[in-house]
Amino acid sequence: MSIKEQTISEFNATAVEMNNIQVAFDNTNVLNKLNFSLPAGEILCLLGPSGCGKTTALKTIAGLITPLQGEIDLFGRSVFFNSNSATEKVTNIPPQQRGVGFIFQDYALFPHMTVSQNIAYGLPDLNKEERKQRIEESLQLVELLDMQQRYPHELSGGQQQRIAVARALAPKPQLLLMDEPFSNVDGQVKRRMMADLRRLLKDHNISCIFVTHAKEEAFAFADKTAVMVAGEIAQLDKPAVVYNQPKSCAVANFMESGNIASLRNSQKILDRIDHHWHKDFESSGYWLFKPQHLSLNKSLQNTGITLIDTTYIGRGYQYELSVQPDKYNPASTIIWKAESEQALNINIGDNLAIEYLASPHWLQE
Amino acid sequence: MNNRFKALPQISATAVSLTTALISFIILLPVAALIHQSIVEYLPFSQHVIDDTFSGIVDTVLSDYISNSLLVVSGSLIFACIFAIAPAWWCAHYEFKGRKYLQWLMIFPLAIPAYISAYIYTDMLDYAGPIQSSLRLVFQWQGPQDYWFPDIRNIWGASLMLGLALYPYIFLLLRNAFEQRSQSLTQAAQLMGASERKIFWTIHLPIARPALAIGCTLVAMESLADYGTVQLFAISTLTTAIYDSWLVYGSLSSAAKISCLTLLFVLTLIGLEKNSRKKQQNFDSRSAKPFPKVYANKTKTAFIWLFCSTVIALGFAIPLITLISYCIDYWVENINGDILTHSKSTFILAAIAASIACLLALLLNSQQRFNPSKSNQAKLSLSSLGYAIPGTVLAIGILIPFTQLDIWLNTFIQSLGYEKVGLIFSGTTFALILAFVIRFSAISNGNIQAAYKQMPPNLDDASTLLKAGRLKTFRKIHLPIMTPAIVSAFLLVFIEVVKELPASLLLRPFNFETLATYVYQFASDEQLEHAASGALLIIVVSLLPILLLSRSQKMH
Repeated sequence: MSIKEQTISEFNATAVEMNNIQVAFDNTNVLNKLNFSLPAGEILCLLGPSGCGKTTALKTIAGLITPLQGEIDLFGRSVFFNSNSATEKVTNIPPQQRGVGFIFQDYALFPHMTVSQNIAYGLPDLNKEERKQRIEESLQLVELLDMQQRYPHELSGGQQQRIAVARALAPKPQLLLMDEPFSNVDGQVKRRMMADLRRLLKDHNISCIFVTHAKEEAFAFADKTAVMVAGEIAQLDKPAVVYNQPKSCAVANFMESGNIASLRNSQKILDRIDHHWHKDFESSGYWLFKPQHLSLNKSLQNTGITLIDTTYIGRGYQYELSVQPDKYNPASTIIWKAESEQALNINIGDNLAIEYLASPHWLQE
Repeated sequence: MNNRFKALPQISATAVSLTTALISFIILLPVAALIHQSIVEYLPFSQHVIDDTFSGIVDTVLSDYISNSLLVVSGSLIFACIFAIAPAWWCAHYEFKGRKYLQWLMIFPLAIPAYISAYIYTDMLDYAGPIQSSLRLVFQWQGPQDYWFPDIRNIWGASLMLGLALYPYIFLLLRNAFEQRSQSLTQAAQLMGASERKIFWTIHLPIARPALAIGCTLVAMESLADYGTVQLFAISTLTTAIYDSWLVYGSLSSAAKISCLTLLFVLTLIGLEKNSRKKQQNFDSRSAKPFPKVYANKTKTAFIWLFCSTVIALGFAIPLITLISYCIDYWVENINGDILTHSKSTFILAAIAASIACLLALLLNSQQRFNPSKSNQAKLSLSSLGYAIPGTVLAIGILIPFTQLDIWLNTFIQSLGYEKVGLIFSGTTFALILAFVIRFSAISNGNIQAAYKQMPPNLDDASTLLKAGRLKTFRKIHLPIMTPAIVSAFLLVFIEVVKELPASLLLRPFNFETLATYVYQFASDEQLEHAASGALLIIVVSLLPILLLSRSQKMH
């Protein structure tokens, strides 16, 4: 049975279901009641700043870290269950029996083994002929069939990553987990690798969870993105939704979605901005103003908004503004960013009048 | 939580845990025995008669033992620093003709045991030796009343011999530290107008201070533990006092008390070193880029070579050439069957001790790798403690419990109506092997621990996820990757055993010699000429790790 045939049978199932997973190191919670599910065949990106618990979440799914409590199901099969109740039995399937493939950040290729020995390591149950065939099949997937006798140090970074993929996929895992798989490669090679791997996963309908702190990787590679903050999932949705409609300040901040202003500041700032939407300040929260929707014009009056820097960013220009909502309180000054495709006729130190050309996004806190 | 692969079936985990606990117990046993033996006679209800040998020693010569030991340690440190610091800086900072060879030659004196140099220089500088005889011939002096000639059979002479044999520790560590110095710090100091000399004293040397402290601690510990050199020069130190208390006065109790005192000195040294290392992280400003070397002009190159080759000649070439000439002059005595017999038994003993030390290191380290825990780490640290215990002290610490065990065993067997079996623990090579394993486990542990540290933990996780159990991971991943480390650990322990003298002198069974005790016996009988081939064999074997080290550095 080829990898494709085998994985297709899991189509439409739920690949991963995590409920109330709690992990602590030295009495400090790293994962705090983590909940999410991933439909089979989808690629999920766990995105978040360093130390938010994303790698811990990945290793917990693999079984390399044991949670204090919670429930993990893989393709409908319970691999971990602990409710911390004396009456309910604890389930903890060891990593070897969970049927997951794992690609480590440093690839973890065994340095003293050739490429084919590395792949064969995970196929102890096959006979010699079957093993040889499976190795070739896996190497064909990553287009490195002629590298069988090479040692890891004889391969480039990109080739090592592909061998790690081949090794992880050779035992036909139901789920592929990847820990920052693209962090060791840059530029063109990275883009090509992401495209190739995504095509491979999609062609064979392999479910995948990968961890990164670079949102560009989530945009390019994932079907869904879960932004993790302090051991919890702050938002899980399509990458474009997470970027354009973040649910909280933490998500908006991490995704660099735009300028955030508190209700109090917004009110004062909005007094200085021409706007076209219905203001509603009854509820609490924050406004998110997208840089690309801010229009800037030089003003002869003291608006409390000053241009402090201009940067060329390739697709246009980015302007950094000092916005002082309360002229009696200089400490209230905040920095906003605006973007324009064309260079504007404004100079550093100029007073600016701002117009917001869209409706700002409302963030609940 | 940190327990890797917690869910795996614990294959004989309890057995492994028990074994490692037993190892820790055996390693602690000598120290516990020493403390017990020192205080047992003063305990209430003790049936031991109070031994007044120690009070006699305290009243008369103990202060001399202590002051002599401290003087030998300080003297060795002074000489070692003189021989090591400047050459370490030159080899790290300058590029000059032959630098690569010079920096390896500077380590060679490590292969010559200090007591061999001590014998050779005593012989050479003696009244009847070649130097004084030639001087008398040239200047027509008739007798010793006509001229003054320095005597090296004193504390300063012993310190010089130890300094010459031990300075490579400081040289190696310091050169390494200097090589890794930060280029940006130097450039910053240069831009602030500091001269090369000022930069060395105010930037490079203080930053290398932890390395200097470790080197000095090693030299101090080795010179404190030295027995051969001080005994040859008839200087009474704490180590010779332990030896004499036991073998001359037959007082195990006073030997134990002096051993405890020596251990206290060792602990103080370790404490001082640890304290200086506390600041290491603050000083750790290694440069990612190799520091470009400065080309030395001809005068400087000549001076460097003159200084270093004098040190190498004194520490290595002169003793080596002398031994070779002894060998040629006394060819018949040097190729007798004794040397072969003793070499064979020494090598077998060394191979057994090295194998056990490596096995223990593998067991302890792999257990810590699979089950990282504070108790496993404690066992690991404990098993490395033996290196700090001077050989003489350790020997007494082993004699005490195992002699008692032999007595109990023989009494028990006799009570069953059988004949006595003799001293099967304290009177056989068992005691020797145990001493070597305890003393040198730190070396095998260090090598294997370093190899494990270099091996990313992700390899273990990858292996587990590819359906391998612990045993398979250990066999197929750990062992092959660590083979070079295991081989070098084996060789280093092997060599240390071949060189070891003080514990071997005290613990060797009747009619049994190791190469070192055989050579030393001849040296103390002023007949080293007859055992020169044995001494040469020790030197050749001791050169092995230096060659290994140079190869591994070349590979880097």
